[in-house]
Amino acid sequence: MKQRLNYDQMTGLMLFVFSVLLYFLIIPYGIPHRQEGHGLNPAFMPNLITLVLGGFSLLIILQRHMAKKANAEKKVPLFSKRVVITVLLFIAYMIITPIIGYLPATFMILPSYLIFWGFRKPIPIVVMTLCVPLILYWFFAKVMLVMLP
Amino acid sequence: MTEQLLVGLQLMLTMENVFFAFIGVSVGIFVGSIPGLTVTMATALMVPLTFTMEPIPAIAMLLGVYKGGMFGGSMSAILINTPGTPAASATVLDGFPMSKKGQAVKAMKIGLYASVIADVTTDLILILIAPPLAMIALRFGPPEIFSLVLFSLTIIAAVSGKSLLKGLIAGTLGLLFATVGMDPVTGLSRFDFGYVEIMKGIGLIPMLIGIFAISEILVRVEPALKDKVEQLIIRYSDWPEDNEVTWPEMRGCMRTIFRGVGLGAFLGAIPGLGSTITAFLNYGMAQRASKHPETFGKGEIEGVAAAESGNSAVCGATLIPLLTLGIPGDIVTAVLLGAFMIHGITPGPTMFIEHGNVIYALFIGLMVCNVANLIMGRLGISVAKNVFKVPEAILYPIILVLCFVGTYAVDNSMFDVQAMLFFGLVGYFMRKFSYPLAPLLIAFVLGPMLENSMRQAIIMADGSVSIFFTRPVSLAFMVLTGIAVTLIAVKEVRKASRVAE
Repeated sequence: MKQRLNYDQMTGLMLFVFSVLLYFLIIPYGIPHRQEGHGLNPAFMPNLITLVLGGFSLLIILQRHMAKKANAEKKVPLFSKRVVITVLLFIAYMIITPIIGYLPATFMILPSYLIFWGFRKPIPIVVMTLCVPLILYWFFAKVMLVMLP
Repeated sequence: MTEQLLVGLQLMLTMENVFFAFIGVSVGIFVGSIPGLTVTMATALMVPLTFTMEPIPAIAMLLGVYKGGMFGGSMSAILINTPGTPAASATVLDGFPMSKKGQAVKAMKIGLYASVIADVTTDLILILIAPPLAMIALRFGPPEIFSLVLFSLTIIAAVSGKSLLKGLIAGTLGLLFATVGMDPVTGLSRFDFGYVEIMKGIGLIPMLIGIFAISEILVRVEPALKDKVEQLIIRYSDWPEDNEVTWPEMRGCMRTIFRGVGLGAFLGAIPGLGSTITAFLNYGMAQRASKHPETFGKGEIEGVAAAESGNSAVCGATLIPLLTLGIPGDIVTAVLLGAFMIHGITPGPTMFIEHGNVIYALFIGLMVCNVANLIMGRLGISVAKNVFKVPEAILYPIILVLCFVGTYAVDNSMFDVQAMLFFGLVGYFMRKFSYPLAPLLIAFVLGPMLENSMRQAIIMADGSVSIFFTRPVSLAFMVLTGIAVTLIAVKEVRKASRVAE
């Protein structure tokens, strides 16, 4: 219960801080102000949404604060090594693709993911590493005329 | 009219025309089922292939792509929790939960039947009463659109799951993300911080693929979330009742399907609204009208029927303003408008006089495409269900690569891929902290329409909000919104008092 309660309060607090930053810093800096005729200015909707978001985040903090009954959710760590590796591999894929091209990048990333996911049969890995990117390349680049990097 | 329809039958029902209609539908289903590739893209790419063709097979093939694509998007939504097209976004809500219950084939079949029934009915509406409907629909201005979209947003309550407050927060975030990019009223860029790529805003496809597919993969790799992973595993069931739509189930969905037809026929005729909003609106109405609303979002067959009938009903209806007034209702019909003109046909009021026989042949062509959609859709389901045979360790790396290339293909932009990863992480943390994803998606889809119509209406009324309450249709939707919000509030108060007891 305690962990769960903390998570809801934590997300509520983070969203509240985010809405304060939005209202006082990000919106004034990120949206040029212009008022023309009777129309609403471009910052009207983001400001309104931010106020509502701030209100809801406060409510969720208060709701959890006042909750009496225990919640059965089990403790979950905030970060997991496997998730971080998956994301880092994907970021690497995004970085190397424009540099070395879609095909070589996919030839490198796909087997890495297959092995990471626990697939250890060498021949199917080689076959898939060659076939999947080539089929995707043929379909996207040659049939659908998408300019792949 | 009967005579013209008979001439149309004679013109359309040749081997060549029927063959091209089937080709179009097959291409549509295939492309629609691949996340990232849109029906618009497929239709646009098929146009050059029709240059040397006669007008009837050419337009029949393009219409086939449009119709096939609408259903195709639902297959990946049901099987891998990733809508192939934005129109299939609402199908995810119950389609994937049905897959988790071992009913993926049943979900795809009800999606196909709902799609085809809705499509056939709106095509008949197009044939019979297109001109008057187009005139009524065109009177639907920004105040009415704003009130309608506001009413549609109340379905957030239905898809919020255990906590309405978390659903509202997710919806608010969706609205916020929708404001990024060029402001359509003033042309000023919002939240771009000097990056040109942000000026175009956050694309729906990167967002969809990120929050559904990428976040699910991240949840699956996390050992600590084993209980959540258990809930995500899709299963294949050998039981016939899990793979076939029974007659009582079909009968139970008919009311929802025809509600989708009514909504789609009208909303599709309004230029700019599109199929995604109709799918969500029909889903929300089906949930409200259901005797067991609590089953929606947990694998309810009626939910899939509502979403699919809602989006497919728009297909025939978007052709109403196109054929009668020459106004394309969405991007696909804008491409179709170009194709018509390439073949020497200018859509508009005079088209029925100048090219009457061709138009009636196309009406028959629409029906042929519907039959083709049913046949090819059944074949597609038989092929698609093989996804169950692929081990998870192979399937998910391939999905990751497919998501990458599919998202990149939307706009040839690495920024979209980065946005997809960002939304993947947003979706991952939302799932982890039990925030529902559907409200975020619904608000993101409806947000731009809500803001634009509100601001346009206020400009029309010289800065007054009274315009929303003085026009009858707008007022009706405002009253409906008020009633829906009151009912939701009463329900929440009752729930809270039950918990307190």
